[in-house]
Amino acid sequence: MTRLLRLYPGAWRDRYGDELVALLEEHPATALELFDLMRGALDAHLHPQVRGSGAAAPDKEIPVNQRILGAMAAIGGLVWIVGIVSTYLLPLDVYGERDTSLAVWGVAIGAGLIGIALGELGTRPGSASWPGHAIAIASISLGVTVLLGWPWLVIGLTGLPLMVMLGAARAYQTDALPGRAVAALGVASVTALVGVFGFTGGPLYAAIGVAGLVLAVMAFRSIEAPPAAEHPA
Amino acid sequence: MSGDLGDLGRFAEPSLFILVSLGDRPKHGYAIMEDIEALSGSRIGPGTLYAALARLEARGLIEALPPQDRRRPYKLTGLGATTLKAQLEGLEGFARTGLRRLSGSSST
Repeated sequence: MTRLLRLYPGAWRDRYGDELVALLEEHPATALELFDLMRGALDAHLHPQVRGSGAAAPDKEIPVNQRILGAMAAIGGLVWIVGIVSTYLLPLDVYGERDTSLAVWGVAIGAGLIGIALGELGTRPGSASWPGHAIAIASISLGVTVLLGWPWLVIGLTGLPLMVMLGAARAYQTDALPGRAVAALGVASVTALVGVFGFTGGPLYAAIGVAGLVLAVMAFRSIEAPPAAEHPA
Repeated sequence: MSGDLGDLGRFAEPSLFILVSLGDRPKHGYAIMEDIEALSGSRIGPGTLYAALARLEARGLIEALPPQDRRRPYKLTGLGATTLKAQLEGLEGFARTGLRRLSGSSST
């Protein structure tokens, strides 16, 4: 029973762990209540109420959508790296050509990652309509890329760096990103565009990867330190 | 600190039950569970109970007393009592209106 308590955040266990164990000793949990405890643990992670290491103060509770999007961005970043490495190192060949096999999946995931990360940036004050547009355009351009192939491939792969470039410009306008991150995004998007029109896959993938990782890091930083203007969920 | 239960989402109802349970005297977690079952006829799970307790405590509506063994009693704060009173008065007015409308429609 106490193993279930390990699912709760440390700060939460420090505060409520003993009394919850005492309650469960007095009243052993049914199967339904075990599920309720697991849901409680998930809630304690998503909506931390207890001050402690890694836990937000209740009055600065992080909106759940932002936490989920940030986690998705991180997962997207990891899958992106795996995709890029696989393309060049593993003997896999899904579509008959190495360059378009796992790279296609990598680009698709990268699109989601970048769209999501742009959405994170869009949660900053004064950019209410931005996240939906960014995600929609990135998803459409990369969806087209994956589904239709040439010549849509070029259109989609052009759309993605352009989205990154727009994201960098928007971040510069709103001070959502530090100057170095904006510069990295700018260089990455220009390099990616050169890669598209120069038909050189390596720089393209690498540049989009860099952009995605910069945005993923920024998305995570926004989770750790949400803007003061945001309201509790 | 907030005196409104409306922002507690799915924990609003369990939180109201907890506040009602603590209305007469301080209670610890298990006693609250038992009391709520007696009051409402349904039992709230331990995960839900402590998620609601944490929210109520964070909002200053309840206050933890020194632990007795490992069991920690909770009591209503002044803000908690005011909030509970407002919630119950709102429900009373709502119920009264509903009953009046029901009796009006059944008599026509």
